[in-house]
Amino acid sequence: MNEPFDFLIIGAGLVGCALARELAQYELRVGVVEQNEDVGDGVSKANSSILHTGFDAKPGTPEARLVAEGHRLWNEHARALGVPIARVGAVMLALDDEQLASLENYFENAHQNGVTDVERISREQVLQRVPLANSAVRGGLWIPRESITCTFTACAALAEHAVVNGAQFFLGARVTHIERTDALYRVTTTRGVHTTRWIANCAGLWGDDIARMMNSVAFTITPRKGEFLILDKAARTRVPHILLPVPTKISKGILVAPTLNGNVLLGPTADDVQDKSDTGVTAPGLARAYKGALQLAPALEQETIIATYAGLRPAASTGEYILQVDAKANQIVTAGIRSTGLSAAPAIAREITRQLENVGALAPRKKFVALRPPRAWATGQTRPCFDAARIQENPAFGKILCLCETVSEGEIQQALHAPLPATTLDAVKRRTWATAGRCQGFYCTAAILDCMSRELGRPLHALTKRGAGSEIIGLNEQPA
Amino acid sequence: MSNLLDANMPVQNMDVLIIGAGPAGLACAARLGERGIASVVLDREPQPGGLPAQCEHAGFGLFTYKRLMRGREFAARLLQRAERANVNIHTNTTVLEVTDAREALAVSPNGLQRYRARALVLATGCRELPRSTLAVAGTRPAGIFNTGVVQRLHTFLHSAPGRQAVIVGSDDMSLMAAPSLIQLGVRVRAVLEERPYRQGYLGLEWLTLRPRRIPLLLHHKILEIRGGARVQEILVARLDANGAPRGEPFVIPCDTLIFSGEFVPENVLARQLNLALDAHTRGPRVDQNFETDVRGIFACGNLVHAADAADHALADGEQTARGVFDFLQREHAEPQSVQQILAGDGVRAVVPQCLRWYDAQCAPVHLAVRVSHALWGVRVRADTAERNFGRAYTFAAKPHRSIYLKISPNVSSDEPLRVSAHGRVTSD
Repeated sequence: MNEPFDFLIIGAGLVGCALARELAQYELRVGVVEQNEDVGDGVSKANSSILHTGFDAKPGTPEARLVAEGHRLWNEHARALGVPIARVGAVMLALDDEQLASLENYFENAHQNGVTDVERISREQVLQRVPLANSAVRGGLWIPRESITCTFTACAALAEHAVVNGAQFFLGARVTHIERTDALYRVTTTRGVHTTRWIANCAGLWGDDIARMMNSVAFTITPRKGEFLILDKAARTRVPHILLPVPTKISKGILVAPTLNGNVLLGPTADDVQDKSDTGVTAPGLARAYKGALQLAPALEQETIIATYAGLRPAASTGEYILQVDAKANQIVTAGIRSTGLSAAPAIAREITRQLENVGALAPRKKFVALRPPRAWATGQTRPCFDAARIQENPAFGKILCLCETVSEGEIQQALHAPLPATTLDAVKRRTWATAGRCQGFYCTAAILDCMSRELGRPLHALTKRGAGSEIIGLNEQPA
Repeated sequence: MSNLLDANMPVQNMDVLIIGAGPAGLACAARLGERGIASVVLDREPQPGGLPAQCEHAGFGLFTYKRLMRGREFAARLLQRAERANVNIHTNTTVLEVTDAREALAVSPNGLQRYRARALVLATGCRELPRSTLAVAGTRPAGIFNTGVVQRLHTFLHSAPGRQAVIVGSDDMSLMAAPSLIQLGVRVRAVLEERPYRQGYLGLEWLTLRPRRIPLLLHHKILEIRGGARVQEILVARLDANGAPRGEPFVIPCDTLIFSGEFVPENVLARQLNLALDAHTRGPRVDQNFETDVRGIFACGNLVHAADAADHALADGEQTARGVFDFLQREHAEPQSVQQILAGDGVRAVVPQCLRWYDAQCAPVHLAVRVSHALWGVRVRADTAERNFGRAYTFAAKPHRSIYLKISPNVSSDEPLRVSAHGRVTSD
C-alpha cells in the first residue's frame, strides 16, 4: 500500500478542486478521488457560469459571506489561473408593480451584503441598456459587478494548479467503503485503496452517502434539477448583460445570460427530483425555461436553439451551506453547495484551510508553483489560429478541427497532454469547447476521435464520452 | 469590419475565390477554368469533394453522368475535371472571416493567409440539425449521432457507430444509411419519421428497408431518450392528426440513435457578410446566376437550397460560373431590371428569389421549388399577372426537396413572377 495521504478529498468538483489547490500550498500529501473520468463532471458542469457578487444572498449567512469573498478571490487569481472573467453586469427586471416594489428590498439586501454599487434604474434606463428587454418592464436594478466565467475552465484550472503543486488525482474511482483504523482512514474505491490522515467530503450530490460512510453529521441531499437552453452565437450581441427576473420564494428564477464563448444561455428551472443521476432534459422543463426567458426578452424567440442540458443542484436538508472541520475525527464536510458554488468555491476552500490552521492541522507552506501560461483563448479570448507566430511554431494550431468554436488540433493536443490530461470526449469539450458549438459535433466528432486515438495511443473503440460504458463507436469490435 | 483584415498582412489578389470544394464549388471552379479564368478553392476538410467524398454508398451522378455511382466516385470524377482545368484547391484551410470587400482571412497549418478577389463564391453546403436543436427530451449519453458523422466514421475511420441503431428521419440519406449500417454489422431496429409521410423516395424504401424487414414508423415521435453512459432505449409514441401522442407509448431498445436528414445551410459566412437571407431556406437570396444582394458575391449549392442532390449542387456551380464570368466582364454594370420571384399558392420557397437582367438576352432558368405540403399529381407553374412563363407536372413532391421548373423568360420585366403548386395533399 502507498504512503498515507495527509488529506484525501472525495469529489473533484469545483469545491474539491479548490480545496486541493488550497491544501497543495502546504507541505502535505494531498489526494483527490473522483468517480467520474474527469474533474467537474458532476454538479459543477451544468450551472449558469455566472460569477455572483452575492447581492441577493440572505444577509448574515455563510453563503452570503463566502460568495462575496469568492467573487473577490476569483478576480484576484483568474489571470494567473487562465480563467476567463467578463464583467458584463446584470439587470434585474421588474415587470409589474409588485415586482417594482420588491426591487427596493433587493437594493437594501445588496447594501447589507456590502454590494454597494447596485443602482436603481428606470424603465428607460433598462431599455437603453438592453433594447430587447420586455417592453412591459417597469424598472430595474443594475448590478455592475455580476460577471460571467466558464465553469469548465474554472474547475479544470483549479485542478491543474493543484496537480502541478503535487496533488494526486484518481479519476474513475468511486468510493465504496470508508473505515477508520487507529489514526488513519482506509478509503476503498473502485480503483484501489487509499489511506489518509484526514478525509474531506466534497462529494456534491453524493455528499450524504459519503457522510454516512464517514459517520459524520447526518443530512440529506435532494437533487434539484435545472434545465437550460443555449442559443446560437447570433443572439449574443443582443444580450449585452445578464438579465435577471425578480426572484420568487422558490428560486432565483429563470434568467438570460451571455456566455463567454459567445452564446446566450436561458434557464434554469428548479425541480426536485429523486434520482441523483437524472440529468435528462424534459419537454415540460425546457418549455418552462424557454417561456421564462422569453418573459424577460420576448425578441429572443427569433433565435436558434443549439443545445439543451440539465444540471442537478445538491440542496441540503438544512437549506444552507454545510461547512465543518472536525479536528477530533479528522473530517471535513462541505455540502449543500448549490448554484452559487462556482462563485464561492475558492472562499470555501480558504475558509476550510483557515479552520484547519486554527486546529494546527496544516504543515508549513511550500513554494507554490504557478500554472504554466494556460489556454490562450481563455485569457485573451483569441484562439491560437489567429496568431501567425504560434502557427509557425506548431502547425497544428492552424488546423481547425471544430469550426463552430474555431478549435485547432493543437489546442486539442494540449488538452490531451495537460497536467491533468483530458481522456474523454466530454473532457476535451470542456477544456477546448470543441463540439460545443452550433453543429454539436457534426463536422468534428470523427476528426477529434482520430486525433484522440493517435495522441492517447488508444484504439478508437476504447474512446469514451465520459468513462467506461460510454464508448462512442465500434461497439462490435471487442478488444482482442 | 474586422480588425484582422486591417492588419498589415500581405494579401493575395485573384479573380475568383471559392469557399467550399464540394460539388457546387468544384463545378464552378472547373467551369471557370475551362473558360480560362483562374480561381482558388478553399476547403476546411483534409480532402476535397464535400459530402459526396465521405459517402461510401451509391446514389450519385444519375443526372450529371447518366449513371449511378458511389459518392466517392462522383467526387473523384469532379475533382479530376477540376484538376484538368488547373483549379487551385487548398484543403485543410478554414476561412475565419470574410468581408463585403471580397476579402477573406483563412488559416491552415501553413499559417494565416489573406485573400482579395474580384468575385467571391460561397459554396459552404449544409449540415444536419443535431438532437438538441430538435429538442428531444431525455438523457445525453454516448451513441447519439447525425448521419454525416456516421458516414465519416465509416469512410475515414472504418468504424461502426454501435450495434443496434434507430434512424430518426426518412429522407433519402436516412434510407441509404440503413444498408450501409447493416454492411458494418449494425442491426437497424427501425426508421422513425415524425411526419405522416415518408420524406425520401418510395423506390428507395423498397430497395433499402423492405428486403431487410426494417419497419418504417411514420407519424411516430421519440418522447424520451434513455440510458446513462450509452443509449439504452427510446420511448416512442404514435401521433394523432394534431401531432399529439396517441395510445400507449412503447420502448425500442437500441444503443445508437441517428438523427438524419433535417438540413440547415451552413450560413455562418453568409451571415458574417450580412447577406439578405431567405426566411424559409435560411440561405442567401440569389438571382438566376446565384449572385447575392451584394454585387460580386455569389452563393450556390446546398447553401441556398439545403439539401438537394449533389447533381443539383453541381449544376448550380456551373451556372454560377457563367454568372461570375459575366460579372468579371462588366464589373460595374447595373441591372436594367430586377424581377422578384415569389412563393405563391402551395409553395414555401423558390430559388432563385429574383431575376436580374443586364441586357435583353435571356437564357432559360431552372427554379428550385419547395412545396408547402406533400402533394401527389403536382402541377407547378410560374406566372406574372399577364402571362405564364413555364409549367410542369410531377408525380409527387415533398416539402424538403426541390422540384425543378424550367422557365423561359423572354423580356426584361420588373413585374413579380409568382410560382404556385397544386395537387392532392397526401399522407404518403
